[in-house]
Amino acid sequence: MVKKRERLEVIYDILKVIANSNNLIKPTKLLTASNLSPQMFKEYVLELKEKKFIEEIQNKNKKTFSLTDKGFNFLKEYKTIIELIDNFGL
Amino acid sequence: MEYFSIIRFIYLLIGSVVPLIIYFTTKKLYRLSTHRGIKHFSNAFLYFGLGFLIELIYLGLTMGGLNIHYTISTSLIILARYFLSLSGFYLVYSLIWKDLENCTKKYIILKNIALHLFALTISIIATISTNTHFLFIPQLAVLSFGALISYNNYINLKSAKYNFKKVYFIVFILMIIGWSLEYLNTIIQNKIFTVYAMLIVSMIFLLFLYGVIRVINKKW
Repeated sequence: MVKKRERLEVIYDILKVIANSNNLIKPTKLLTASNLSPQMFKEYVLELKEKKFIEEIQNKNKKTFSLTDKGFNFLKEYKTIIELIDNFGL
Repeated sequence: MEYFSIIRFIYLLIGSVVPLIIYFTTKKLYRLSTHRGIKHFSNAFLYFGLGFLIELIYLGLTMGGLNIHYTISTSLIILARYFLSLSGFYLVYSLIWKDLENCTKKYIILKNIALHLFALTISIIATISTNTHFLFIPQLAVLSFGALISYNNYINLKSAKYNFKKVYFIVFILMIIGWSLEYLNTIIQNKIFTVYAMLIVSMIFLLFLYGVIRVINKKW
């Protein structure tokens, strides 16, 4: 049985996919790579946009996502965040 | 100058500075993660720092020979006790928030308001009635509960590598001992209890600081 991912892990996975795609990815590709239902994907993308981890770039009729500095910072600090949560039982 | 006042001054300085360092360090991680457990843990140290800072200011005013009006001194004491009570509550809350916040946002806000109101109520009652049972007994009950939770986390720990959970249970026991000594001092009026309490609580803050810095400074 596949373990349910925690919220932070899902955010990390989404941001990592964007970073690994030369920081530019189409929504459909991100949806496939994120391993989320369309509804959950929509909710997470909305949250990430609101919290300014990612930005939406409109180029002619094409829409792509890319990481902001805050998004890159999250990827950098992710392991520290997880260690803090794990060490102190938060 | 009385030696006890000097020791108390150093203790309150440690109690103000160290928790605030922990607060600012963990707040940065909360801003990125918006993880509620980190928020409650971080806020616990903010309240520790504020509580000790107010006590430090109060000590400074009294050591300076200033004649403080009764209303001001009572307000400062209530405020310090409010923040220190809140800090203990939020430290324990950071361990159990997942089970308590599995509800709507409105109820989460209400639960947090209830914690603040409870801390303020016991601080006011304890100060005005000069009966510190109202302050220490709820605090010791909450810390005992925290000790149980941290013990449960420790025995469920599977990893052999360093983890603060191995130490957290001991930290809660030390907090209970420290708070109990402070409580004893209010009953028996023997400063030696307070001196030991100050040493123990200073050690607790330094242990937390060590634990946080160890996590933050780990090279990945």
